[in-house]
Amino acid sequence: MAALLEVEGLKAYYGQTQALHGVSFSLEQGGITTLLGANGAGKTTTLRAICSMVRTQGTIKLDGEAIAGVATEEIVRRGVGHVPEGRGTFTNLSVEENLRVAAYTRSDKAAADRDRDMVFEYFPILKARINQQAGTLSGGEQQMLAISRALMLGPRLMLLDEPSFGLAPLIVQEIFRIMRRINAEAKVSMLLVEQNAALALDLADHAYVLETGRVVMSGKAADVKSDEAIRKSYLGY
Amino acid sequence: MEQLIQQVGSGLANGAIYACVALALVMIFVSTDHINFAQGEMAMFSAYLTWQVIQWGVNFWLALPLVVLVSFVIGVAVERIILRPLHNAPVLSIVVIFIGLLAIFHSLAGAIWGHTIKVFDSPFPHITFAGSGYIGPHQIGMILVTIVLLLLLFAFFRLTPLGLAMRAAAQNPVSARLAGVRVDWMLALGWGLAAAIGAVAGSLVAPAVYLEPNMMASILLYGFAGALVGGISSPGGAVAGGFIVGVLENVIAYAGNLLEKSTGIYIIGNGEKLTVALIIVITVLTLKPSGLFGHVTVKRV
Repeated sequence: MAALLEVEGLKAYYGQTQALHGVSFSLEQGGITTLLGANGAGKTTTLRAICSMVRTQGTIKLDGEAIAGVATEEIVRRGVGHVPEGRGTFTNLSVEENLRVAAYTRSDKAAADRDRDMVFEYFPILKARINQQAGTLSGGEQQMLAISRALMLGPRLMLLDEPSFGLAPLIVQEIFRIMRRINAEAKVSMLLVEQNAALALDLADHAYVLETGRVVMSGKAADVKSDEAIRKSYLGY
Repeated sequence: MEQLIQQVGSGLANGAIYACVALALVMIFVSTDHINFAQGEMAMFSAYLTWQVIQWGVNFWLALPLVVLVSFVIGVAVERIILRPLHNAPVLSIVVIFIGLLAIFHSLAGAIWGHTIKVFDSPFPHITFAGSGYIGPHQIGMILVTIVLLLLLFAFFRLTPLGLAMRAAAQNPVSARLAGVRVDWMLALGWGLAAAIGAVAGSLVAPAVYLEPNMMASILLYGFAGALVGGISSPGGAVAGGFIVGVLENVIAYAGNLLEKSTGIYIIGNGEKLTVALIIVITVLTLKPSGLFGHVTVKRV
């Protein structure tokens, strides 16, 4: 299968500090790839680098097209839905407006309406809260809203930054179940960053383990999961 | 009593202008966290443009939309050309830029049109009507035009996708980018809108205060006071604050006059209206920095 996302020798910097030292990986069309690693390994930075939210060097190709250095909003318009760390809710806007902002760039309004219905089917609770100020939602609901906002872009690729962060296990399970459905039904490829390695390896088909800004190992999710040495030394469980 | 109603009426009329200026200030503040000190001078410049177009023989009501459009373009251009390259600059550099802009617009108006006072005829008909002893036609006109302007802006921000995108960009620029919103352009658009609102305010107030390069200096201060009273982060609050300041300055001066008449003690009067505005600014900043309608923002540091 063709690679949807190819990252080659990616370096990223926060001011003078280098956070990534030549990360390379690829993501297959329709697949779910997870980036694992300890705090500060560069997982979030990698997602930010793909969206030009940090200064980068190296090549990033989306469907064969180089996107390194392109403005964040233009990358998003090419079909990359980034669900950011901390959820990025527009707290003063209503749930409905949060979704409408994300559909703002789409020219095909009928498709946007269909995606809206799809979002409400995945997360019926958002429909019940449609006129509520988004800042008043619970953490889990805000995470659902963040995923929904990314979906409203009609993305080819979703970048998910720790969707389980700070949520109760039951909510996490539900969100991961729906992410699997989104991948299968809406045909959205996913790049998932997670602290919860066991959870991520269950969902993903490929895994890359990062350590201090470098890829230290990679493979099929099932293989990584069954390799006790990797689990113990890098994933801590 | 009759005098009091008169004072409130003209307070509302002035308040309408302060509300416009306050709104223009808030428009830029919510998206950039900066107070544009040149807002008043830009409005003054727009008022001169309107005057100029009228001198060329065009009707006020045709000249105004034209100048609003030109001012919008000037606002966008100022943001794109002057402020965009400085978007990472420290706040003091931005303040210096604003003061520079103030001086530039001031001198430019003086250089082009001269520093002498120009008469700017009121665009509203001189009619008498029931209650016209209390409030003049130009004052009613100012209030009406302001209300129409505010309703249009409200509709724009609430009902159009572009308005929503601007609100999103002001509230959370990072998330807005991730939703595909071109945040840089939204800032420029905010500048354009602020300049356009200022153009309306300047062109409406010019017949009341006469046209000259200093005409907006004190009005900007009142507008700033209005924005603070309402809450510098709240557009609706800024409008309410503008009207409140407009009425307060008149009523307080009126009360001062009454006091002088009855007791002979002079504390405050028509000469100290600007002082009232400054007292309002200081009081609000001391007692309730977020204003009447603003909300306290907590920032993680």
